[in-house]
Amino acid sequence: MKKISSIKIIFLILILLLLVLFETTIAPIPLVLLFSTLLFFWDDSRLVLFLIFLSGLLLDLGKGDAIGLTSLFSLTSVFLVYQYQRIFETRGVFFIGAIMFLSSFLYARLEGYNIWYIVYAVIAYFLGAFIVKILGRKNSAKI
Amino acid sequence: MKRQTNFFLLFFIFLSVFLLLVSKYSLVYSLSGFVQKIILLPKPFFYSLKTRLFSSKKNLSPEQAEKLAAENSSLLLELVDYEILKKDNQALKSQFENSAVKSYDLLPAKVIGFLGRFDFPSVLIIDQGEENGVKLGMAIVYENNLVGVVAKVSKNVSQVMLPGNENFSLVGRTVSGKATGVIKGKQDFILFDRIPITDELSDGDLVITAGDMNKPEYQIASGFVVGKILAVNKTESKPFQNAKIASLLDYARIQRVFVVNKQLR
Repeated sequence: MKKISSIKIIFLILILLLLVLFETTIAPIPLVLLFSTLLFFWDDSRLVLFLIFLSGLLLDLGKGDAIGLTSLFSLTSVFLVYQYQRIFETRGVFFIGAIMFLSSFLYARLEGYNIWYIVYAVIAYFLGAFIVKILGRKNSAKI
Repeated sequence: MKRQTNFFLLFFIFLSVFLLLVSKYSLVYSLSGFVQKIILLPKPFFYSLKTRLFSSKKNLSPEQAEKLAAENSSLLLELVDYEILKKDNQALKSQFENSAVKSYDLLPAKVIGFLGRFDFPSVLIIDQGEENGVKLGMAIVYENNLVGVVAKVSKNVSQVMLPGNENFSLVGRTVSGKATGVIKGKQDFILFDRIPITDELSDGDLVITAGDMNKPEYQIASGFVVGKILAVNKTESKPFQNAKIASLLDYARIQRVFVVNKQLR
């Protein structure tokens, strides 16, 4: 199991806080949801799960929603991705993309986000997944 | 290891469900209110950045835009007053019917976020909540204009449903009182619908709230300006006509609003 360094943890917390602020003020697109899944794709540790849970709670508080809704959405999509990875022992970007699209769409519909923004969000997600894939290759090359 | 991840995933999912269920209970509610206050601190700054960004697109500084909007609003306010006075004089009605002289107990609120389109939001998030006396269905105004209706309330934050929101519905009338209908949100615009074909309606008419007495969840008094009629859609064979309304407010740039707590008189 790879361990995340404390600098990386602080960096992740800062990114998540910034995304929460962005999503609740400037850009109402499911940024936290997308980033959370991407984060889990990169590292499936307990700490990452806790950060996903926490960022969801903060997002709900920032929007004035009932707390737990975003966490539930994020963790359920992460759960589906994880089950897929576990059963098929693969990291299929297509399946993850499909899950992400579906959860983003449902979440955006439920929260009253503009549906068209999801297209940008999904593009951003694939870009992120691509970066993760490259990073993953580099890491395995080092080993 | 995989089992552990699975266990923690399920644990956090159940914790989320649990929090969702107990979110209105006093302990969780107070605690969330405290955290909410901390989160709220940087939000007005971030939101003002967004409005600045939007203003620069229209080659106007936020100050200029605000000044123009205020000027426009006051002129239209005068127009509403004039129309109402004219109507009152003509009909020799009591001044108690004149909405322009009504006064309200207003609670100022800062806009700290939005949902929906960047240039035409459907929901605004304000920094006042249940703790400050905000309740579901309260009217949110800016001067004499209706900004929206409170749709969700938490301890320190509320969501305001704007007239463009597809769930928005309210009884309205033209300022001359010659046409009455339902104001509905259509995502991209506001529709003044279900107006009897016999009612007089023309482009440029101001539409105001008629006061929904039959809807206790919508405590909106009469006389707040919703917008100006842009185009009338009338077919002689149909019993009803409708019209597209343009709001006098720029929802994407609005930074301060007022919650109508109660009518003083």
